[in-house]
Amino acid sequence: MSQFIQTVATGLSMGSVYAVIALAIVLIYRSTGVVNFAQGEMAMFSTFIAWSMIVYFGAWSLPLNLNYWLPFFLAMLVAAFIGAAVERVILRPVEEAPIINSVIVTLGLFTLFNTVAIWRYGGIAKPFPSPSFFHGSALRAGPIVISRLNIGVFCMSVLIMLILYLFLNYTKLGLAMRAAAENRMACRMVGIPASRMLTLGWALSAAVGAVAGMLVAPIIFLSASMMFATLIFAFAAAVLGGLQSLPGAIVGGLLLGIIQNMAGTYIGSEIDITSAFVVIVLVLLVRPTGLLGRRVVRKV
Amino acid sequence: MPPRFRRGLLLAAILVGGLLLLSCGGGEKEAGETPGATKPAAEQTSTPPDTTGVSATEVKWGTHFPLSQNPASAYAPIAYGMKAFFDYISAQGGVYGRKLTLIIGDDHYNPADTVEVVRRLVEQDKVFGILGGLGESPHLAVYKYLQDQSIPDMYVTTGLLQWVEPVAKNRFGGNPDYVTEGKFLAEYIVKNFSGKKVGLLLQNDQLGVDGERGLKEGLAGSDVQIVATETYESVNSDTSAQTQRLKNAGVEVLVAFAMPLQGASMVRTARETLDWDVPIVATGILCTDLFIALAGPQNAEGIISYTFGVQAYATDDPAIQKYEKIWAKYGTGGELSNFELYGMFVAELTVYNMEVTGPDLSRQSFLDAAEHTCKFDCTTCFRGGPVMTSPTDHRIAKNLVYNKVVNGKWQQISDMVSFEPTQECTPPKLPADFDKQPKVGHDAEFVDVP
Amino acid sequence: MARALPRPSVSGLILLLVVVAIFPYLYTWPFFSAFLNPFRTFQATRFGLWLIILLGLNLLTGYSGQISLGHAALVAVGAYVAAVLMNQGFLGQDVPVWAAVLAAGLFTGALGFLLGAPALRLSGPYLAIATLAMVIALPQVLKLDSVSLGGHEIHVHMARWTGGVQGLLLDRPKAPESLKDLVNERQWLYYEVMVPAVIMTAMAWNLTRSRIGRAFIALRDTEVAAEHMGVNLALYKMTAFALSGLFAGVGGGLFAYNEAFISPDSFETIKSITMVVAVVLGGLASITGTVFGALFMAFQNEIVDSLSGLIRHIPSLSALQGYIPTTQSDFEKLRGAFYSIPLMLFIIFAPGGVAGLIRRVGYSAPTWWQGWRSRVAGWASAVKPARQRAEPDADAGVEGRQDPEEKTQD
Repeated sequence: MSQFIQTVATGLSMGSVYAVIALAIVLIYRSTGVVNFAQGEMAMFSTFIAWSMIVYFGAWSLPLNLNYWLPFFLAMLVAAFIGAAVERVILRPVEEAPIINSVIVTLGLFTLFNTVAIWRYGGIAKPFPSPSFFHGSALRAGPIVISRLNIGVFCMSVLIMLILYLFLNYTKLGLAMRAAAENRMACRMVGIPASRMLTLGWALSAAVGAVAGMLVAPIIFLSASMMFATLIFAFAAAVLGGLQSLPGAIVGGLLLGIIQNMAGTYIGSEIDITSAFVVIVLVLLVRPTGLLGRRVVRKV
Repeated sequence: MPPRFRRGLLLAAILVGGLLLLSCGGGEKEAGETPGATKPAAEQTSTPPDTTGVSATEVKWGTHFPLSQNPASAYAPIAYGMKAFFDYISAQGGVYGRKLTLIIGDDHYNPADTVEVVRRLVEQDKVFGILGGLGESPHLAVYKYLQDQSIPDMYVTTGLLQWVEPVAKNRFGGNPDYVTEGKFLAEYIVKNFSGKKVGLLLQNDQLGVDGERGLKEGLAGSDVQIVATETYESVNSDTSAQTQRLKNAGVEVLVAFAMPLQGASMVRTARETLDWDVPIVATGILCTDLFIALAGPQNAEGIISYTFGVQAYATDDPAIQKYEKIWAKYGTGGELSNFELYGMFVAELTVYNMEVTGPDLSRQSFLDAAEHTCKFDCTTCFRGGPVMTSPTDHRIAKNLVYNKVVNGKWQQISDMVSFEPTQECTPPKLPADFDKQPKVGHDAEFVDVP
Repeated sequence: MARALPRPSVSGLILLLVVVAIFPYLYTWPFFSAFLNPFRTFQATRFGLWLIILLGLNLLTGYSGQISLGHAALVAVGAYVAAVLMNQGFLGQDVPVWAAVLAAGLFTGALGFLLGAPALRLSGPYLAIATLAMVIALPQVLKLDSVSLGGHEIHVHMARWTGGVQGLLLDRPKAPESLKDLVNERQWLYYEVMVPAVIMTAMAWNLTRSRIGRAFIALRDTEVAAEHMGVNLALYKMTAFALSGLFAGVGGGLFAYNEAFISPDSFETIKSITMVVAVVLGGLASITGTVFGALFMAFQNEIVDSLSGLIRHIPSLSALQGYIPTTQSDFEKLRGAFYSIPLMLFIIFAPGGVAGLIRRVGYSAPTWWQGWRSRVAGWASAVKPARQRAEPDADAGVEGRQDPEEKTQD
C-alpha cells in the first residue's frame, strides 16, 4: 500500500512540472485560439535570460535573496515584452489565415528560439537555482517521501492557476480578453480593441511560461533542449484536462504524471510513456474535449 | 494564353530555376576559412590508388553531426574541436603542403538524414573520408555504404561494439565501446562491493543495452547480483521516479549508464530527496565538471567513474593548456570542455596518420598507416598509454583510469588499466619530410602562428 | 476553397512523364551534366519516396481537414513491416520487394482505418495532440522486450522482430542480373521508387476528383452540412485515415528498402512535424502542392546549407559580439535561423503555400498584365493633354482624358 501511495506522490511531483507549463499553453489557447508550439522554447529562453541575470547580480550579493527574485521578476517582464513583440510582428499577419498557418509559424518560432538560445548560451546544461524556501530536506510522512522542490512547484502552479482564473473570469479585462478570443468582429463593434487584447494575451502567457520555466529548471536542468520533451507532455496534459480549462491544465498535468509513474512502477519503465499516451487517447474517446473541457459548438 | 498553360510554364520555370539555384549554391559548405584552396579535388574513382578528396593543396574531410533540431546538438562542440585542430595545422602549412578542411554535415540525429548528408559529402563534396561521425543509429545507416566503397570511416564517435568487431579495413572506433566500459566498471564493483546488490539505471538505447551486457559479463561468477533495472527515454531528463523504484528494490550499489542530465537527476533525487547515501558508479560520460555542477558538489562526493584520457578539468596539465591555446585561437569561443577536447584528440590522431602516410596520400595508403599506429603518444593520452592499432584491432581508446569525486572535483584514484591486446608493434617507416610537418603529440609545443 | 479544381494540360503532363522517365540518364547529356550527377538521381529517388508519403498526409490533412501530427508513426510502421518481411521472410518463404511493400501498405492502411475510429470524436488541437501521442509512443513500443504485469514477466519480444534499439539492417538492394547492362544499381532504385510514385500520384489525383474526394472536401469544410447531404461521416473519416496509412505504408516500405536500414530514430516526432510543415508549405489540398512539399523534404538540408553559406561575415563592433551574429562560426551555429526565418516569412506572405502562390499568379496574371497596360496608357495620356494645353487645340475639351487606348480595369 505504501508503495502505491509513494507512486502516486512521485507521480504528483512529476506531474506538477507538466501542470505549470500546461497552464501557459491553456492560457494562450484561451486568449488567442492558437496552439503555441513555441511556448516551451520561449519559456526556456526567458529562463536563460533569468540565469544570465542571476549570474550578473550574483556578484553584487544583495539582501533578502534578491539575487534570485530580482532576475525572476525582470525575466517575467522581458518575457512579456518578447511575447507581445512576437504577437505584433509575427502572428498578426497570420491572424486571418487558416489556423494551421499560425501553427506553422509557431513551429518556426520554436526552431528560431532554440537556435538563438544555443548560439547565445551553448548547448550544455546549466544548473539553475530554486527559490530559497524550496530548499531543505524532503518532506516525509512515514515511508512516503516528496521533495520540497516538487511540492513548491505544485503550490506555485496552483497559485498561478487561481490568479489567472480569477483574472479571466472575474475582471473586466479578463472578460475582454476572452471575448477577443471568441469573436473578434463583435469585440471591435462594442469598442474592445481586439488586437490589443491578443497582444496582452501573448504577453501574459509568455510571462506565465517564463515563471513555469524558472520553476522547473532546477528539476529538469536548464539547457536549450530542456523543453523538447516536457512541452509535448505539457500539451498532452493540457489536452487531457481540456484546452479551454485552466484547472484542467493542473488536473491533466498531475494525472499524466501519476499515470506515467504508475505504468513505470507496475508495468515497467520501458513502457511508461506509451501507457500514458494510451490513457490520454482513451480519455479523449470518452470526453473529446478533455476532462474539464466544455463542448464547443461550431456554427455550420 | 489560357491560364493553365501559363501556370504550367510558371511551374516549369520554378522547377528549372530551383535546379539551377541548387547547382549554383551547390551543397558545398566550407566549414573552414582556409586561405587559398577551395577547389574540389580531381576524382579518380575506379583505378587505384583512390585519391578522392586529395589535391595538391588540400585534403577534405567530412563528418555528420546533429547541429540543430535535436537535443543531441549539445555534442556539436566535438565537431568544432576537430575543425579547430585542423585549422591549427593548416595555419602551420598543412600536412605535406595540403591544408585540411572539415565539412560538417547536419543530420539532426536522424538516420534517414544521415544517409543523405553522408552521400552528399562523398559524392558531391568528394571528401577523402568521414571523421568522427556521431550517433549510433545515424551511423548504422551509413557504415555499410562507407565500407563498400572503402572510404575511411575514422574514429566513430559512439561506443558501439559493431564498429570494431568484426574489424573492417576502413573503419576505426572512437570512444571505448560500452561493453568494455561495462566490464571495467564491473571489475571495480567486484573488488570493492563484494556481496552487494546492484541496481542499474540505463538509457533505453544502445548505450544502456551494451552497458548492461558488459556489466553482466563482468559480474558473472562473482557474488554481486543485479537486482533491479530501470530505463529512461533519452528525451526525459527527470529520473527521480526510476531512482525511487531502485531504492524500493533494496539496491545497495547504483550503477548508471546514463547521460549527464539524467545521471545528475538521479544523484540529486538520491541524495537530497531520498536521503540515500548509496555508492554510485557511473559511466565515463559522467566524468565531467558539468556533471558535478548539475548534481551538486556535495551530492556527487564519492561517485566513481573513469576516463580514457586527460580531461578538460586538469587545467594544470600542460597538455590541456596547449589545447586551450589552440581552442582560444581557432575555436568558436567559450571555454574548452571535454567535447572539444575529444574532437581535437581524434583530429590529432588523423593528422599524425596523414603525416606517417607521406605525400602520396590515398585512401588505401592512409588506412594502411592508420591500422599500424605504433605507440603514438597523443596529447591527451595517459603517460604509458599511447595509441596503438593493428590490422586486427581498430580501437584507439583502450587505457582507462578510475576516477572519484573528491572535494567536488574528479581525481584519478588508480593507475592506468590497459586493455591493449599486445604491447608489441613495429614502428612505421617514416617518410622523408616527416620531420618538417607540423608536430603533433604530447611533446609538441603550441606553435603560435601570427 | 470552392474553386473548381483545374485540369492540367495534357502536353505538359506528357513532357513531365518523359523527363521523369529518362532523368537517371540525363546527366550523361552535355547540357545537363553541368548540374546533374548520380547524386541527383539519389535525391530524386528520395523525392519520390517523400512524394508518396506526403500524398497520404495531404489527403488526410489537406483534403479531409484532419490534422495529423503523427503521420511519421504510420510511415515507421510501414517501414518496419516491410523490413521484417524482407529480412525474415514469411512462413519460411523469401518475400520479394514488391510483395513486402504492398503488404506494408495494406497493413498500415488497415491500421489507419482502425485509428480513424477514435479520431472520429476528436477535432482540431485535440486530434493533433492525439496523433502526436502516436508518434511519441511508438519508439518505446518498437524497443519493447518484456513487460511485467503484477510481478509476472510477459515477453512481448517486439524487440526481437524489430531489432530493438539498434534497428534493422537489410541487404543492399540490387538490380536484377538481366538488366545489368542497362541500369546500374542507383538507376534501378530510382525506377523502383518512381514507378510506384507516379502510379500513386495518379491514384491520389483520381481520388481527389472522385466521389470520395468530394466527400473529403465536404468533410473538411462543413461537417454538419455534409452529414445532412448524406455523407457518411464516420466511414469517410476512417477511409481518409486508411488511405493516409496506405500511402504512408508504401512510402515507408520503399524507404526501408532503399536505405537498407530502419530504426526507431528514423521517423520520429520532429520529422513528423516537419512533414506537416512541408505539406502546408507546398499547399494543402493540392497535388502540385504535395510535389513541392516533397521537394522541400528532399532538399531542405541543401537549401539551408546554401542559404547559411551566403552570409560569410557581417562587420560590426566587437563590443556587440555575442549579442549580434558577426563571424562565420556565429552563422554556422545559427543554422536553424536560416531554416525557420524563411519558413515563417513564406507562410506569412504565401498562406496558400507554393500551390496557392501559383494559383494566385496564374489567375491574376492576365488581369495584372492588363492593369499594368492601362496604367501605362494612363500615364501616356496624362502627358499628352499637358502638351496639348501648351498648344491650345479646339479638339481638346472636356473629353481630354478619354484616350481610346485606355482600357479599364484592375
